Amino acid sequence: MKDLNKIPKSNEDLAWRRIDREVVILQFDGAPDEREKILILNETAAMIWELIDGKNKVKDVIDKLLSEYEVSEEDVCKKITKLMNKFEKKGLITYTVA
Amino acid sequence: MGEKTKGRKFVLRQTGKKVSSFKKNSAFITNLGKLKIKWVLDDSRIKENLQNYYKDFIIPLNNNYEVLLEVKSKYPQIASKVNFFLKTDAWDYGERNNKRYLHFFHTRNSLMEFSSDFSKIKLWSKEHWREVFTHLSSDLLYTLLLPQFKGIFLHASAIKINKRIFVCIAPSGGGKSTMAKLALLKNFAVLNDERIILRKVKDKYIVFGNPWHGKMPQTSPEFGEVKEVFFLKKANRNYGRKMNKKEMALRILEDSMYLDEDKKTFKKVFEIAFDAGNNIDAYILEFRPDLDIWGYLDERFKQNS
Repeated sequence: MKDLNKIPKSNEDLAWRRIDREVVILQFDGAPDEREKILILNETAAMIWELIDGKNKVKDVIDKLLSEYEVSEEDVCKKITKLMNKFEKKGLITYTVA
Repeated sequence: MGEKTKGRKFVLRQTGKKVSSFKKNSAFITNLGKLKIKWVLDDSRIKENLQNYYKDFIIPLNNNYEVLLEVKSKYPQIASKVNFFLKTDAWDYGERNNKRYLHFFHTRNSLMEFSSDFSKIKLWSKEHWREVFTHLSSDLLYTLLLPQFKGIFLHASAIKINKRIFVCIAPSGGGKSTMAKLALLKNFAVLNDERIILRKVKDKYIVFGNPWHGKMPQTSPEFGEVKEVFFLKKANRNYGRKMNKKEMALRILEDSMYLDEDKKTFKKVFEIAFDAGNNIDAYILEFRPDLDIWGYLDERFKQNS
C-alpha cells in the first residue's frame, strides 16, 4: 500500500457515536435540501474509524490492528486500504501528509 | 394633565416628560426542562397572557437563567440578507453572521433573532398574543433551544409513579395518550401525553413535563430521572422485550423533534439521541390497553427500581 505515512482525518461536517460495538455516523451531503445519511460501521470498521483522529498515520492504524488480530500484515493492509478508499469515496475522510 | 398622543404615550405638559402608559418593562422567568428563560417585555399586557400560559413553570425573578428573551413591541426591520433556508407557510428560519432568525409573516411581521450560542434572543413583534406567541408556545422555541442545552423534545408520554418515570414512545395513534388515560385512572401523575423534554443534567437523564399537551389536557411540571423507555405496541398481551442500544438510539432520533434543514442543530440532536441510547435501557412494550399494564410493569421492572 502506498503512502502509509499519510494521515487520515474525518470530515468535520459529520457527527458520530460509538454504540455497543458499532459506530453510527451522521453525514450531510452538503446541499441545504439534501437529506442526511446514517451510516453504520461494524465492529472492525468501527475500530478503524476510531483510530482516524487526524494524528494517526495509516501505518499506525495498521499496526494497531495487527496487535489486536491474529492476521497477516498483507491481509490487514488490504482491508484497511479497501475501507479507507470507501471512506474517502463517501466523503467521510480526507488525508494530510505527515 | 396628560394628553393622549398618537399610540400609547402620554405627555405631561408641566414637566414635558414622556410617560408610557402600558410600555413598562416587565419580566418573569420560566423554568421548563431546567432551562430557565428570562422574559423581558416592554408591554405588560403580553406578560399577563404569557404568565397565565406558563403558570406552572414560573419561578422567582431572583433566579439565575440560561437564556434572556427580550420582547419588543414594534415592527421589526427584517434583515434583508438573512439566508432563510427553511420556509413554511407560517414562518421562515434562517441564518446570517452566525445568528439565527425566525420570521413570522402570517398577519403581522414578527422577527426573532438568536445569538450564536442561543443564550440571547430578541423578538420584535406588534402581536399581543395570538400568532407569534402561539407558534412559540406550541413548542417551536424549545425545539430550537433544547439541543443547544443538551436536551431534546420527544414524541412521548411520561408518567410518574412514586419516584419512577415511565416514558412511552409511539407514533400518532400508537398508545401514548392511552397510557396517559390509564395512568390517570390510577391517579398517577401524567407529565404530558404527547411530548416530553429529555435532558442530560449532571450525568443523569431527566424527563420533564411541559404545557404542550396532545389529546389530554392534563400536564404536570413534575420531572424525574429516566432509566428505561418503552416503545409502545398495542397488543392482546403485556410483554416487554429489550431493545439493543443502536435500535433504541435510532428510534429516539426518529421520534425527536427538530428542524431537518437545521443541520447544526440536528447534529446535536443526533449526539444527544445516541448518548441517551448508550445510557438508558429501552424495551418494546406490547400492551393491552387496560389497567393490568401497571401490575405488569411493576412486576417486570421491580428489580430496576
